[in-house]
Amino acid sequence: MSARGTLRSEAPRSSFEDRWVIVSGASSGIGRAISLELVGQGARVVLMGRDAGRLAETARLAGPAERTRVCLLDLADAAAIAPTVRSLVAQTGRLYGLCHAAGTSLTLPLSATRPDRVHAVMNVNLLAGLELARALVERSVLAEQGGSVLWISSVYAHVGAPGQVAYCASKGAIGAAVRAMALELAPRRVRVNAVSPGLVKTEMTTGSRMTAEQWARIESLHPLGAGQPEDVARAASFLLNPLNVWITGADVVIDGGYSLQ
Amino acid sequence: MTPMTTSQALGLLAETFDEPLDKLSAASARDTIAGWDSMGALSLMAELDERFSIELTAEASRAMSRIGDVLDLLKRHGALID
Repeated sequence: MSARGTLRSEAPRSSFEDRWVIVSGASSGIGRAISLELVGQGARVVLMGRDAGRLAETARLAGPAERTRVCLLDLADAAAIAPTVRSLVAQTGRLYGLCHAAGTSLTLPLSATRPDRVHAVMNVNLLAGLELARALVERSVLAEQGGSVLWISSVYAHVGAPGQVAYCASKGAIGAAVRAMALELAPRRVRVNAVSPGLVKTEMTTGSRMTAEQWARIESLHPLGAGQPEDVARAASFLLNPLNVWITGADVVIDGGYSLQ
Repeated sequence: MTPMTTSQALGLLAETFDEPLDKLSAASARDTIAGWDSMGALSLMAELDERFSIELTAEASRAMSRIGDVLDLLKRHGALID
């Protein structure tokens, strides 16, 4: 039987049905919005991040305590990722999904894009996500029916921008990794997808070093204006949803038309 | 934070703006320094933040018109030792 046939025949006929999904970067912005959307769609969510207070606030916003579990983890500590994911299973049972929403930005000219700065971006945006995925698909961790991995990439995986060399590189690498992972993990009924948002109003973007004029200029390049975290969350939930058994390797651009020009 | 001399600070700024050191002094005007454009300003913000924990806002950055303004900022934050 093909992977496709296997996926379809064994897919559940309703939504998340209490499946556990890890969301990294759940303390704010897109990660928080995705966490709330997933809980709303019937998932249970491991809220992963560094800030206990903010994660607790995400949990409070999500509602009933049994729908979420806070997991404190600094994703820059790659060695801690797999043991942490394994330890979750004892508390939650096997996991269904992962959404790597944690990310960091770097807006600097190439002349200032030193290796240490590139490593800092790559470590969080790419390597932490790979390590989370690697841990998730361990046979003792992943649900037997398979699972779903979603990366929050960026429109900068598809287009360039001055001052975004390291960030573009990190997001472009995600796109390449998604395609390879999707093929490799299909036989295990693990789907791997990405969403690539344009400018979304979050603390990361509004707290960047952009001037108001720079922000307005970039926003003006989005025909539908800047996005909200919830715009990304709805697409993320769709791609993670166990019903969508035939979507893998997709990279859904959600940018209000930015990349059409 | 490791404070530095004015000479060292000028070296840092020369590197940040990719400008010959012998062309920079406190009196150097921003509009004579090709590398002190919008990208150079971002580099300056990053250096000040990482080396001295000085958070330079975009507006404060834009108000700087000469190298001396950067040196004055460093002095105010105790980052210059001379």
